[in-house]
Amino acid sequence: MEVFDITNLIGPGLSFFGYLIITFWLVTTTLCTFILNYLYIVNKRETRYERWKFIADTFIRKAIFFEEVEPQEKDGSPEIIKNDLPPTPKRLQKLLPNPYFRKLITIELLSAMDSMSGTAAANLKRAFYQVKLNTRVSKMLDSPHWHIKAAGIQQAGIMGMDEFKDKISRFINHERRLIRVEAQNTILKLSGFDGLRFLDDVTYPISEWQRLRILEELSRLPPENFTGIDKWLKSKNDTVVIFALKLAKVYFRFELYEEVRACLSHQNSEVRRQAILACTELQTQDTARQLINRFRSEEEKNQLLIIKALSQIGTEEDIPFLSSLLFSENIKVVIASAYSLADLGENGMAALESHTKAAVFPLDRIITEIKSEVK
Amino acid sequence: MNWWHIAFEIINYILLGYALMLISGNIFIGLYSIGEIKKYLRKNSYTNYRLLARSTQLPGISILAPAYNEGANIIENVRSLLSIHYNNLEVVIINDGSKDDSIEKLMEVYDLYKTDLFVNEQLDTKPIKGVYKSRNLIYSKLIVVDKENGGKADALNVGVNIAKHDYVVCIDVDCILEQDALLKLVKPFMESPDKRVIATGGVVRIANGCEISNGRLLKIHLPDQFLPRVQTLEYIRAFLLGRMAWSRLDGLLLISGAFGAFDKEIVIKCGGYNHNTVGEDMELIVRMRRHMEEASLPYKVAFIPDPLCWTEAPASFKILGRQRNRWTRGTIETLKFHKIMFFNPKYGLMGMLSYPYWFFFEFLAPLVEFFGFFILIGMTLLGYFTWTYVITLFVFMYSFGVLFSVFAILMEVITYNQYKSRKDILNLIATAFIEPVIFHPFVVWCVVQGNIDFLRKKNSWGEMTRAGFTKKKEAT
Repeated sequence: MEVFDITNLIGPGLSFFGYLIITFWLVTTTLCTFILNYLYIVNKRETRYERWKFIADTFIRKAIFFEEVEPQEKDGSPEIIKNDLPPTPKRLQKLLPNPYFRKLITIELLSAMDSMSGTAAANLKRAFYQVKLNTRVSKMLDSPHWHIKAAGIQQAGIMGMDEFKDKISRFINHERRLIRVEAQNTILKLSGFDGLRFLDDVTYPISEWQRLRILEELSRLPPENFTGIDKWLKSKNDTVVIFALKLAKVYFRFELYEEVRACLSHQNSEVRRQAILACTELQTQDTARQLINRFRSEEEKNQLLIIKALSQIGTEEDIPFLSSLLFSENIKVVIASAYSLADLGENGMAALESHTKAAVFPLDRIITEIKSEVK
Repeated sequence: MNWWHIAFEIINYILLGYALMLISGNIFIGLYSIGEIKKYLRKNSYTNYRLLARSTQLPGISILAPAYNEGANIIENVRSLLSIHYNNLEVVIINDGSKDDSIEKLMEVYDLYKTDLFVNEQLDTKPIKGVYKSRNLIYSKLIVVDKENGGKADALNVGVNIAKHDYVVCIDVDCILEQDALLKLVKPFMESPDKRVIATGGVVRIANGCEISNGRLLKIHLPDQFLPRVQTLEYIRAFLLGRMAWSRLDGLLLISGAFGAFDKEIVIKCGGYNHNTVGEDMELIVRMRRHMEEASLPYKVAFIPDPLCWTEAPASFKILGRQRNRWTRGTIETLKFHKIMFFNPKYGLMGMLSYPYWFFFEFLAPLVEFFGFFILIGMTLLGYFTWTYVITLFVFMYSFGVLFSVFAILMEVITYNQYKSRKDILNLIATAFIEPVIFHPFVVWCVVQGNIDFLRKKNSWGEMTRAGFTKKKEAT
C-alpha cells in the first residue's frame, strides 16, 4: 500500500493536502492581516470622525438657528433681504473633497432634516446646496448601481429637491423593487397627495410594508381632499385596490361608499377583507345588512371580521343573525358572535344569556368571561 | 492485496471524500452568504424604523415567552420585554409549572389579577391553572398564564392558543431584544406580496460579558470566559454564514427557539409545537415547510442578519454538554419524523438539498468525525498508514476549521463590527485557533452521547441553569 510521506509536503512532490494546507494558512494569514488593518483604519477613521462630526454639527447647528435679517427701510426704500447662509467655514471646505466626509455630512444633514420643519428645514436645505451635495445626488440618480440610485432618490426626497421630480417620476414603476419603492415615497414627499398619481400606472405589487410607509408619509401632510381613489378602486392591480380601500378608510371618504361596497364581491379575498374594514368605517344604514348578506360566501377570516364589524355598526335588528351564529361548530365564530352581541347593549346581552346554548360549554365560559370584563 | 486492505482502502477514500465534500459545502456557504448579507444591508439602510414603530397600521404581534423556574430574573426579563418599541403588541408569559416563586413575584410586582379568559384550545396542551392580567394600565400589554408543567413545546402551544394577534414571536424569557427587533422581524411578513412568509428568524448573539442594565443592553463586550467566548464565535459562524446562505437558497430548516416569528394561522394548521421532541424549534419549521409544500402553496422562511436578540450562553461544560446533547436528539427526532422528505423531489429544494444536507453534514458529520478518528488511528497502528499521513489529515482539517472561523470573523468585522476593540477581535481570532482542539472535540463527544441517549429513548430536556445577567453584572 502506498503511504503518505511528509517529505512530499514541501518540495517538488508537494502532495494534494500539502497544497491545500499551505493555501489555507496563506488565506488565513491574509484574512487576519486584513481584519487587523481594517480595524486599524476603521478605528482611526472613527477618531477622525469625532472631529469631522463636530465640524459638520457646528455647520448644521448654525444653519438651523440662522435667522434672516429683518428688512429695514433706508431712505424710504427697503433693504434687500439677506438670503444666504453664513459662508461655509474654510476647514469644512477643505474636507468636502473627501468622500468619507461628504458621506458623513450628508447623513448628518439628512437626519437633522428628518426631524425639522419650517424655517429650520429650509435653512438645512440651503446648507445642503451650499456645500454642493445636490450635485452628488444628481450623480447618484444616474448611477447604474441600484442601491446608489435608491439612496439618491431617498436623499432627494428628504431634502425636497423638486428639480429632480421628473427624473424620479420615471422610476416609480422600475423593475428593481427598492428603486420604485423609494421613488414612490419621494414623489409623495415632493408632490404631497398629488404624488399618489403614481397609483394610476403602477403595475408591480405594492407590498403591505410599502403601504404602511406611504400612509406614514401621508400622515405628515395636512389632510387634503385628493382625487383618484375611485379610479384606483377599479385598478387591475389588486394591491392598488387594497391600498385605495385603506385610503378611503383612513381619510373617511364617505362619498366613495358605493365603489368601496362593490369591492365586497372582488375575487381577491384580501381585497374583500379591506373592503369589509372600509365599509365598516364608512358605514351607511345598509352596511350591516350588506355584510350579513356576504357572510355565508366568505372565508373564515373575513367572516370573523364581519362579526366584529357588527359589534360597531350592528343594531338590534342584527341580534337574531348573531344569535344564530352561536350554534356554529367553529369556536372562533362563537366567541366573536358572543362579544358582538354583548356590544349591542342590554338586548344583545339578554339574547346571549337566554340562548339555548348559554349553559353549555363553551358558551357558558365565554359568557362568564364577557361578564367579568364588563365588571 | 487481501480483503482487509481493500476494505481499509474503501473506508479511507470514503472518509477523504466525505471530508472534502464537507469542506466544499462550507466554502460554498461562506461565499454564498456574502451576497445575501450585502443585499440585506443595502436594502435596509433606507428604512427609518424609529418612525414606523409608532404606526397604528402595524400588524399585531404576540410575544410568547415560556418560563420555568426563572424566579431570580423574571421581573427584569418581563420589564425588558414590555419596554420594546412596537405599537400593536401583547406579551404573553407562560409559567410552565415552575417550582419556584415566579408567579407570586409576577403577581406582586405587576399587580396581577386572575381573569375568566376563555381559551380557545386550538392546540392540545396541559391544563391552564389561571390567566392573569394587570390592574395597572401601564402593563396592559401583559398576560401571564400559569399552567401545569408540560415542557417548552407545551408552554408555547398554550401561548399560541392565547395569542390574539396574527403573528407570534417565540422567545426565551431571559433574552434581551434590541428596541427595533420586532419591527425588523415583522417586515419580511409584510414585504412579500407573491409568497407567504411563514416564519422569520433573527440573529441570536451571546450576551455574557456585555453590560446590561434594567433589561437593556448598554455595551457589547466579548465574554471573558472561554466557553461563552467560543460560543460567540460559533454563533457568528452559524448565523452570519450558515443561515444567511440557506436563507438565500430558500432552504432554511431552523429558526432558533430563542427568537423567531411565526404566522400563527400556519402554526395552528400544522398542529403547533411537537411535544414529542426536544428539538421543537427545528421540528416546527420543517413541519410548516412540509405543510406548505404538500399544499403547493408559495411560501418563504426569511432570515435577518441583524443582531436582534442577546442570550446567555452556558459557561460550564456540564450545562453546555446537556444543551448539545439535547440539540442532537432534537435533530435526530426531526429528521426521523420527516424522513419521507429525504431525496423526495415532491418537496423541492427542501427534499433534495436541505434535508439531505442536514442528514449528511449536521447529523452525520460529528459521528463520522468521531469514528473516523478511531478508524484512522487503528489503521495506522496496524501499519496501513504512516503517522505522517494521519497527522497531515488532522492538520488539514484543523487548518480549514481555523480558516472558516477567521472568515466568519472577517464578515462580522466588515458588516456589524459589534466587538469594536482590537483586543476583542484578537481574542476572537485566538479563539478560532483554540476552538478546534478544545471545544470542538467536546461538542463531538456530546453529539455521540446525544445519539446514545436517543437510542436509549431518553427524552428529558436537561436542566439549564443560568447565572442571570443581573447577578453577573453584580459579580463584575
